[in-house]
Amino acid sequence: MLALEVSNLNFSYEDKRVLEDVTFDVREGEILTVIGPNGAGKTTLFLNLTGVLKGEGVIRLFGRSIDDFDRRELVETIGMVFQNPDDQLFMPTVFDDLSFGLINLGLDKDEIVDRVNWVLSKFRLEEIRDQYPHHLSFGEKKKVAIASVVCMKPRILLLDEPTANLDPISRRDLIETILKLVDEGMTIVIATHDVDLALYSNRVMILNGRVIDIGEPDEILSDLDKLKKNGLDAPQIVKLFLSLGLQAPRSFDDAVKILKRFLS
Amino acid sequence: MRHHLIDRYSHLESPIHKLDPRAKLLGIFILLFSTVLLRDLTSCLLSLTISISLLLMTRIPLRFVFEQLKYGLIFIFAISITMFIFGHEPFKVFLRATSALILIFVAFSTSRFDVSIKALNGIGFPNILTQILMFTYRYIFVLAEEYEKLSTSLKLKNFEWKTSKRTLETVGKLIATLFIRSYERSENVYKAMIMRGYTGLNLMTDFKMGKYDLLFVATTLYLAIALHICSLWRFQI
Repeated sequence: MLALEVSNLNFSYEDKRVLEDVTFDVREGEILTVIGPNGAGKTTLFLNLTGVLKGEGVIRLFGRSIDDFDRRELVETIGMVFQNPDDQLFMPTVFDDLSFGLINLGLDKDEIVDRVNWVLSKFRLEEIRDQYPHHLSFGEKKKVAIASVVCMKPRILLLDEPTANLDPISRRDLIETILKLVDEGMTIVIATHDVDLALYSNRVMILNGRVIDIGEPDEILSDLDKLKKNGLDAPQIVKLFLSLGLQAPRSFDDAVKILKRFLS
Repeated sequence: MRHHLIDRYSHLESPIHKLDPRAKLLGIFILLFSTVLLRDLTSCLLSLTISISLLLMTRIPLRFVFEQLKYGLIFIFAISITMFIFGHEPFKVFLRATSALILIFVAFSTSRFDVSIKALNGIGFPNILTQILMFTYRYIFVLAEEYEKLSTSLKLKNFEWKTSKRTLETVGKLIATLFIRSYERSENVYKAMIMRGYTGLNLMTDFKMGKYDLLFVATTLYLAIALHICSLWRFQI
């Protein structure tokens, strides 16, 4: 089933056209990574997908037009995590922030507490439950920002630059969490400059105002000319494989298999 | 970055700290309103005694209290001197304002600030004002960090603070940059709130008002009335 369908989406900020005839779809339970240079319209696309911005074109979530959703249905269907966690964490404590969306959904107090405890344990945030956001490290803020959306259990999760400014351990933790969420059936769309992250996804889309290309990671990330033309670069591991004369890997697991075959 | 927080000693265990935050705020506000309306010197002195007694009951280190209140006290002192110069009675103003300042400190230093905000909401403080207070508290530190980054950036570019036109221009640009960043952030925060179903602020609290809390409110009410009876009596004499 298709979780998300976008057809001929156009969006302009006053006179500046940011999105032009953007058409793509995302299958339920897959990870789609959207890569593109600065100003490619990735965040604008996400804001359109959540109904915050309204462009011309058709957006369907699980077969229904976004215009047919009321706000409550929409926040239960699709959630977005911003690039900067300070934009996302606006309540005085971590607990208040995690419960904010749940209170708005009208859940009863016990269910709110249960859901907050569930998400705190999922993201290993129990120790900072009552802390102020300004006392947290950037990595912790980022985790809390994602947790604040995940606790609303949206079926589709949009992540805007999730790995930006994270240290290697936090980055690894975050990737593990994303993969777990997908295992649990969540559909994830990631906008990023981190091309290495694309190797964890099912499909990759190059966006530069319009959709340049969409396909399997090995297919998209091995086209070095196309990437360069759009202000991007291939992951180091892909470049290494191509320079060894090997096929580009679809994922890290695939890279290990190809390398083992090559060495034997 | 080190933040100067009024609620640094909110974890202490004093009779004031143990109060339900709503009862504490309500009781202290009753005393506060009573204090600012006093008309004679004796009752103002009594009010100051009550405020200082409450402050001592909190067991917050006096050095910290002084650090937090020094600018307020300097301001009150300056106003009192100005009033004296212009021929007005400065002592009552000084005593009333100092009492009020101490009472406000006791109210907000003995609970975590987020708890105080929720307590304000709980005693009927307007929702919109609660939200403004909450966002101010959340983002004042973000703004302070951004200011610090900009200030460091100026230092790294060998900028020196002088009494010159260039310094004024630079400070103007720095403030403009902070303003634009704050504006952009406020737009993003609003979008994030909408995406999480915001239609108006609802806060989840687990306050419980007990006998001890009711006794505190009743005592403050009694003291507030007693101060005014004393004030009226002294005024008539």
